Amino acid sequence: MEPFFEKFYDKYHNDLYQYVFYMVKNRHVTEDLVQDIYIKVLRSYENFDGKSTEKTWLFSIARHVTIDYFRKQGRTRKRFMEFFNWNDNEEILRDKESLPEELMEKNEQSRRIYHGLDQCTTDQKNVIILRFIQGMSIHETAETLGFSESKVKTTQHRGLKVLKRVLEKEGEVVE
Amino acid sequence: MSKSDKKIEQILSDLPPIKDSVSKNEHFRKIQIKMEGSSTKRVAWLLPGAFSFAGLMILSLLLPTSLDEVNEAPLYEKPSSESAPFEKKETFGSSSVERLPALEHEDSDPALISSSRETYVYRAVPDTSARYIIPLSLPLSESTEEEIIGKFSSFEAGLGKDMLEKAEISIDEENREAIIIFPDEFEGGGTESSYSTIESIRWTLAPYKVNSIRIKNESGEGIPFHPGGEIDSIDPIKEGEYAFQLYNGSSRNFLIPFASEANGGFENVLSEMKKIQPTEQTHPAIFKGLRFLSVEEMGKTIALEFDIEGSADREELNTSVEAILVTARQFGFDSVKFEHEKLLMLGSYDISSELDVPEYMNPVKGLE
Repeated sequence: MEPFFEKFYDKYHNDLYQYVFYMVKNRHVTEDLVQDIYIKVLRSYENFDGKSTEKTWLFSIARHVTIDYFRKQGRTRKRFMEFFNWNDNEEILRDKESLPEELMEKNEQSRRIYHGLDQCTTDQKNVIILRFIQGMSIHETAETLGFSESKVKTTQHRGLKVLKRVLEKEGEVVE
Repeated sequence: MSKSDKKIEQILSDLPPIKDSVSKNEHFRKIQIKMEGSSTKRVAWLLPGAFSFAGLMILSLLLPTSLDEVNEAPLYEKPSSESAPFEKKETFGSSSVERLPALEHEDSDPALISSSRETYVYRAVPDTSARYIIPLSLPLSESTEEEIIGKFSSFEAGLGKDMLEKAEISIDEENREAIIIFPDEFEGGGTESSYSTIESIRWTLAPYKVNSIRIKNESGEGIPFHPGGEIDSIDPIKEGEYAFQLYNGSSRNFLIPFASEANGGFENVLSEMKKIQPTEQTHPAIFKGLRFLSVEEMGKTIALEFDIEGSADREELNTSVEAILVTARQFGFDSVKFEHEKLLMLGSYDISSELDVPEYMNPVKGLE
């Protein structure tokens, strides 16, 4: 096995897999995208200039690969004939997304937040996942996403607001 | 930071790690296959790719009718109701809703923007009054560009004279330059004809994002236009130059450009789109009860938090969404995220995720 791949895999695979999974929420797609990310890393490592850390460089590649995936998905977007109302159709919509078994054991709030991530914009989702699921600092998140630190803070604030609204729609008081 | 933010952060950080069921060896094996596959595919792709690139490099649209007719033909010509390919329908109470017949059977296709499922050749023609330019997308389906352009009749579409009928249009994609060649006898004509020709060229070429447009006759000379005199180049459409309104002076609705004077961000562009002065043939494309609570530019995505005051029919909301998407593209955005406290749909659009901006607008069906 390529020692270079082995090094990257051992060092970052778990974090990389979590990031991509929480972005796309599908195991098969995650596996596919993670492999695509490694391919890009293998092909472009010689261009890595060391200006950012290896990890933020890897995650910025991961971000581009997932955005490309969303773009392709967006092109096949569906149109529906009628208005949907969140309150009326929430259960139908939830049923369409399979919940990973790891989350089955978690409480209802965690499941709602998991579903609620899809109400965020891609940028908000990126920031929320990197900051709170990956535990990156504001600085690392900014470097990964190519944002200013103030943009990370604003996007984070807006993303949290969306998630708060998701919980409140469930009748939960979030204090 | 509020207590609620802290609580949500805590829930997020407690989300469980998801187990990867694929082993390291299996990942590596698949990566190797993909890498080998992609290098093999690249070789197989080269030949058709080279042909399609060459095809795009020179997009030549040579058409038969004499341009002398332009100055003689009546500027206003209503299509007869029998020959018009489009029909007008009254639905949703008092609202007049116009749709292409094809859309009766293809509800998944947008009415005013080009669908990502199709490939198109683009054209822009004036309306019958020669006051407005209508950018159009003509779906190629199985046909060639020449075949589709040959079948297209601007008059049957309820529009004015196609000013580029006898022009040869070449696009050098590498240098992002377009060259328009008119017959030697061609003259730009009067003010209306000159305006229609120049704007038809600009909007026909807008989807190709060229940096320069050269214009000449077969002898290589510039073209006389009124009132500016002979010209040999035209400014392409620039990013942020136009927003869109609704044109309903024909047998169907179209999105048409108007020069945007808004400064200070997309919020002001939306406001301008809502306030644009209506005329007999044009109206604001955004439903007046659609209120934007916040407009945030996030990289190449524009996030619009909105609510709706009063009631709107689905077509009005679809038109609003489509006009915003087209305008967002004109301002350099890749996608629009509509955010509402409760709604997951806006008109027929699923707004639970970002909507990609379309390639172009006003698809004309029935030519395939």
